[in-house]
Amino acid sequence: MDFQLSEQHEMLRKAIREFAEKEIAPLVEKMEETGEFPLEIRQKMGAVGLCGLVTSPEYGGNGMGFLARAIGIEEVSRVCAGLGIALQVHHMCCWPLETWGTEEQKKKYLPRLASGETFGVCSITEPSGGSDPMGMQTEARLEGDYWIVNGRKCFATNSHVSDIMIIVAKTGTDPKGRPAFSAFIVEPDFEGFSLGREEKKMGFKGASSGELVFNDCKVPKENLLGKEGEGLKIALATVNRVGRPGMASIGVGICYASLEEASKFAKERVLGGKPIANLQAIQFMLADMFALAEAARILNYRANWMMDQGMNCDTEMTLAKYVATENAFQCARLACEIHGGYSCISEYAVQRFLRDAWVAIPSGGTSQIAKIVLGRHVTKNF
Amino acid sequence: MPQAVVCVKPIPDPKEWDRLSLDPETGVLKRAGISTVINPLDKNALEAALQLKDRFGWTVTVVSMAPPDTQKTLREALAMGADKVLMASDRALGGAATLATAYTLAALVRKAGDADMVFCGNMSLDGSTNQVVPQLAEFLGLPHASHVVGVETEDGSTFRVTVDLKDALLTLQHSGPMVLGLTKEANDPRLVSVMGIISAQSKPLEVFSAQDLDLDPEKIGQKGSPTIVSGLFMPEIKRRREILSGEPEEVVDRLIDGLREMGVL
Ligand SMILES: Cc1cc2nc3c(=O)[nH]c(=O)nc-3n(C[C@H](O)[C@H](O)[C@H](O)COP(=O)(O)OP(=O)(O)OC[C@H]3O[C@@H](n4cnc5c(N)ncnc54)[C@H](O)[C@@H]3O)c2cc1C
Repeated sequence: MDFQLSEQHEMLRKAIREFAEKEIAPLVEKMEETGEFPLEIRQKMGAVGLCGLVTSPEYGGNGMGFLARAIGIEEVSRVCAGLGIALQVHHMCCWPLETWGTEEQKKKYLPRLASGETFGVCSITEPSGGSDPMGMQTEARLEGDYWIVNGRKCFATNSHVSDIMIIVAKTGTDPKGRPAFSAFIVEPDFEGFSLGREEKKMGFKGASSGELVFNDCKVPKENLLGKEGEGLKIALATVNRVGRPGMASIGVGICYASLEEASKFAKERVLGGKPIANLQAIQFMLADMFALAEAARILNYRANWMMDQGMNCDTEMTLAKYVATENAFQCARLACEIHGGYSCISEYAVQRFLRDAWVAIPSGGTSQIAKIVLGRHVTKNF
Repeated sequence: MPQAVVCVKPIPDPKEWDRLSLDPETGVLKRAGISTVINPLDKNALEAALQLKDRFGWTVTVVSMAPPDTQKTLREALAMGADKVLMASDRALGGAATLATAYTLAALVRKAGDADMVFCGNMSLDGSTNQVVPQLAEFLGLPHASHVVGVETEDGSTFRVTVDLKDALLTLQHSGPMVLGLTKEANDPRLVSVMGIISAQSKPLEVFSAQDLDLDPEKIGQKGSPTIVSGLFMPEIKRRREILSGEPEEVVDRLIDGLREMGVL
């Protein structure tokens, strides 16, 4: 067993940390204040290679893989978790496109995504309940050369900043009479498509999340992704293998950001003539944070490493997502406690970490849903 | 293709300098556990060379005298876009002061072949002597300019080099090889990209011993270093406080007189 990151992965961390501190950190204050997505960052993230991490070089990406992606998203989220989720969902559009797309689809869409010209969307959730994808109401029927889509999606990350979206809709029933779903590639200027409202969130401010509205929306036949009836498989695989580790990486980034801020504050804050870092009560909190952060990171790296090896890792991905997002919230909470009253003031980043960590928990599937998956795994295997 | 040679030094990461300490007995810097980065000004040097590569197709060769465990750091120069690294790594080179360093670097520059321009950082943040640039130029028999804040060229053969003289800026026009010491004002070094990291793995990084470079054993390492660190001390900063009272005009006069006496004004 080798826990040493390769020289390339170490260099990647350094490079993305430098990028995030130089290019992303100056954007955070405005994102927090206005909730607006800084459009110009897309191409910068593309140029540094973040957008193309899970896209092959032949389609304009660098294909460095999932462990690299975990490190990249972690470093972005250490500075700004809002751009962390924008990037992670972007990859949730790239990966299924490369995995199930036709050659024409890949050539048409992937280079634009890998360069950061636009950010991708992967939209499954509907008002009928994210935890129950089978309850999805959006429907598509084939009429001549077009699929006619009707329905409404919600919570779509990057909704208002994207030109390329993957969506899933009901397209009939399977031989057993259960609803069957298919995936489609949608562009915002397709007839019958419109954007619904953009949500104001408590966290991930500045990341766009909103509604996609389909009103007899005409999707060209050739924009079916994968085969008819494969939509749910594509959606679940994408959530499992890309969405969950993406959220886990954001969680790890928040854990370490919290740890760094808390340690810095504890060393600088002097009470009774001594830094509070000398107090055992504070050290215990820092120790807990360290344990939470390291555990989250190791689980996440393992899951992503398995993905790079082509191993089956659905359980490990779910475990990493569950632990990392919950740990991020714990870490951020402890960081806030260490900050005392200052944690309530917007100049101190820890309050942002707490809000972001909270929003990370349901994104990509709630902790309850993760525990259902893990519980099943336990009763089956132990 | 014309060639730019860039001198790059791996140094302890300035962000971690609060963890550095000096061994009081030997005066040697204790740097175990501190990560290594490219000397920040060397990135400005590299950027200037890479701009010539982007615009005129120059080859960019990095040279460095450094311990073998810093190869990882030098690969970063390849990830930024340099074409190859020539590295001198040998126990015999240890303890080199500026003269021995410049002598060794000159041998590496010659090893690189014809250099059409040599770019250096004006100084290394961990040494801060400013001596290597002129010394290297002397060894190579080339003209040099230190404190360079701008390098411009229209055609890749005539260069306008702007030098900060503290009270004035001097712009030189020059054709032909030269050794330049760049400051951080000279440009904004590019960031490493994922594509750069991937391509760096297949670029050459050659390591040479003192013998490979035909270096004179008397001129390298500690032996070849006429300067030695004879003692180290922490400068003591003493504060003096004096409260002046009286009429404002009178107090201001006394303040100015006092500052003049101390040599501040
Ligand atoms: C910031 C953000 C970004 C998002 N981005 C995207 C995106 O890009 N694309 C996308 O498709 N979706 C996205 N989502 C949606 C996300 O996947 C859903 O919010 C999530 O799946 C939960 O669905 P829900 O909000 O409808 O909650 P519900 O499914 O209504 O759940 C409500 C509660 O019931 C519990 N629950 C539900 N079913 C069960 C069960 N069987 N057993 C036990 N408990 C259960 C849940 O755990 C939760 O506590 C995003 C969400 C957020 C907050």
